[in-house]
Amino acid sequence: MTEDDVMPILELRGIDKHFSSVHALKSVSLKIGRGETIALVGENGAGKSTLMKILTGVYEKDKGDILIEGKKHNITSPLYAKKIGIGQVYQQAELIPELTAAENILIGEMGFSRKGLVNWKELKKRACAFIEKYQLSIDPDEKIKNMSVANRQLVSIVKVLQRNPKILIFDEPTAVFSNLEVSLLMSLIDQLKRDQITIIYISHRLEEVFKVADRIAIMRDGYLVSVIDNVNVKKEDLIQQMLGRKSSSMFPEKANLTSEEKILEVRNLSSEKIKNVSFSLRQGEILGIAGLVGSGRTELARAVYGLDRIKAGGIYIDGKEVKIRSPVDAVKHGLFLAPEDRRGEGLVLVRSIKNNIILSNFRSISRHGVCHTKSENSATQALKDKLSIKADSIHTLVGNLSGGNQQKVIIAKALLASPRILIFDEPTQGIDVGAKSEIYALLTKMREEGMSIIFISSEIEELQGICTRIIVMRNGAITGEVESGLEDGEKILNLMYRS
Amino acid sequence: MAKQDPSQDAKNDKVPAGAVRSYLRTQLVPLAVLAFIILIASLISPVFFSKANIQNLFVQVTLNMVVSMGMLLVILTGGIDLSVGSIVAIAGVFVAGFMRNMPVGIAILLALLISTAFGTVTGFIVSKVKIAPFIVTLGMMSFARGIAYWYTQSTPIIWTPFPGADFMYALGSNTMLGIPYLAIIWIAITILTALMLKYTVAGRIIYSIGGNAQAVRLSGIDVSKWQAVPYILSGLLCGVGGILLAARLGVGAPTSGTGLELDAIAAVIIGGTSFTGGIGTVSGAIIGVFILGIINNILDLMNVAAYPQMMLKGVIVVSAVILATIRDRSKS
Repeated sequence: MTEDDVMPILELRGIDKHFSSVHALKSVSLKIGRGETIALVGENGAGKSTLMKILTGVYEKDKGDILIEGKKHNITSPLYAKKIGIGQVYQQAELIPELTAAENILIGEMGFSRKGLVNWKELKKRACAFIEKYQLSIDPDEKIKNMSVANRQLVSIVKVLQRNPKILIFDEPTAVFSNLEVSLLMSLIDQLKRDQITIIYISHRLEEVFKVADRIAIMRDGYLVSVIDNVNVKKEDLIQQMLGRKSSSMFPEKANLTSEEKILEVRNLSSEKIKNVSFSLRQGEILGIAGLVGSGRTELARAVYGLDRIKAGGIYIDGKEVKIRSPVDAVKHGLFLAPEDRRGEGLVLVRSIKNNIILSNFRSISRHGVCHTKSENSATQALKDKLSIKADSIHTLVGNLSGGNQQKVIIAKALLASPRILIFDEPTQGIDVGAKSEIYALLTKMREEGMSIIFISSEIEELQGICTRIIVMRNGAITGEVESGLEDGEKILNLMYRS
Repeated sequence: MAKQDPSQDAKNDKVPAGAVRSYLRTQLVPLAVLAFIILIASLISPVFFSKANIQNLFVQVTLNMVVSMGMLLVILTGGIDLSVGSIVAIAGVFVAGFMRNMPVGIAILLALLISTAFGTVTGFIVSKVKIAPFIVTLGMMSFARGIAYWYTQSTPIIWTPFPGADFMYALGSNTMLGIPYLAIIWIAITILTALMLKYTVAGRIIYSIGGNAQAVRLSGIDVSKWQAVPYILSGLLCGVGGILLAARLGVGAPTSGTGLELDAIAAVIIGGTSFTGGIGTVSGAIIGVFILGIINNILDLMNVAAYPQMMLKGVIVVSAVILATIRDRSKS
């Protein structure tokens, strides 16, 4: 099916979206035919999720038109999107763990009888009909909390399906799936395609994309760069289109490593989420950790930092084994973690810039438990100036800052703590290009001043740009290490995607 | 202009005028309510502004003021302490009981130690065992009240014949330069609490835990240790409150402090403290205590009976929390 066929079920015309200074979507136009499955691919931050959130009414577009079956719609809320037949499968978040599959599927439409009671029999019959129709291996009476992740995902899908959507959006549905579970989902999607449901499928797993998609739309930097028919597409070509041309000017120049000394060594480390991970960090290097969301990157950092329980293996600092059971221990041993979720885990949004920065090192600004106002003000003011954090004063609430400036507050925290080893998880997520390049420069400078840095990121380009060495993770294990020839992005991508 | 950290509104800021203005902005609603209530009070009762009544008012607010300081610390970390009233009773009955056979100083010290111990147990269960503070302190409320009844056999302990009774009477009723001793004590306690919150590491950590405990934890701070501190201090302050109440009443009664948790929570929330933690000030809580205290005072002056007063208090408290919730919602 091509886009010239009859009337498209969904047409996007020049969709534009800004988030303060970030231009997230740049005049995106796309036509999707009825019953078509279109895959949306692109790097993190390319604009895929933003586009979907505009379709489902989470965000409002700045410019452009959305046409459903030729009719213009101004999608102002998720409820509106639901009404006009756009359904999105979320990752479990919508399910209630204490209720059964059947109850969860129909909770939004629970028919109450005239007496005001829930008609359980009727409810179960309807849920069972859906489960049977798609031949799913779900027990309608089983509570969600007892189900596997994959089955929960299937329940979420059925929950959306019973509303009879015209367009169904999957955003990374298999991020937490095993291969067997993926094939379960694939066969469900096949059936949906036979039922002429239009599907928009977002995934980082290119194998799946090749399997399910009729056409593949590639996004990069907010642009929809091309839409190709899924015939004889080579993975390499796709990856190249996703990455585009490199903008090397974003990154500071790399200096050569002067030390071979291993400051941190992790040997055969295992936790709930990572398996037998070994690597070392050299004095004064920036070690990149690449991997998809869910590949175990963050969990590795959490295990090293004492947040997740270690099941086996050891952590060595300066060649000596150390026991890290909590962040308190980690900080004692000279580590500092700047977490991925900066608003949820990194910052106290209702407190000032100053009060956030000093959290990392009270010893430097207090004596006998009493804070020395002058020295804390001057220390935080100096950091604010050094990192050019844009705010009225050090007393400005962190919650009122932009993403980039919030990230700089975290860097300021790290600088005040002056750790020997800094673990930085997705430091440039959701911040604009200008702030990104400032952060790269800062990290490089910190490295030159002797800090050793572990840099976790989903963006291969930035890893290539500032790291001296990159290790790649997948499914909780390290799949490879790249030191020379970092420019070869495909090599890294292959390690990330290899199944 | 971006919002400023309310706890930073201090005289040592570079722009004192700006600090005063931003203080007034954060405290605008409670201050307006306080002014309104004072106006009403002076219209209703000619004796409201009399020296005797003002002295009386400053004595009446003592218990809630002292206890509210502890409650403020607890709520700032995102917790709640329902056991305050019962611990006030514990301190009162034990200090009276101990005065039977030991010097008053030792009796006071022991009573303080016991109430602090109750707070410590609560703090330990909340922070280390990680049980919801609502449940822990609800249990503690019943447990401590039970002990107070059991120890006294449900009869108030009067200390008139005991040595040290004179000291307690003086504490409860004497004045210095026209200011009641009780008022001097609560003023000192509020100042100390404010200083602690503003200038100490403990204060900074208490605020930040309420704002985002995980961020504090990742900074390498032992959150569970610090989470216990407000409950311990709340226990101690309830001890102080209980002893002061006993001094004023002349007895240690197992029923004292009943329903006090409602007053303390209301005062703190009326004073602009966020139920979710991280935001709130001592000055706000003081205003909150006075708002409730003056309402009580007027009703007394008007000879309104105790039961309608209780009903009215319930209405006021729930209204205050409704307003606070609307305020918090509109912020987020």
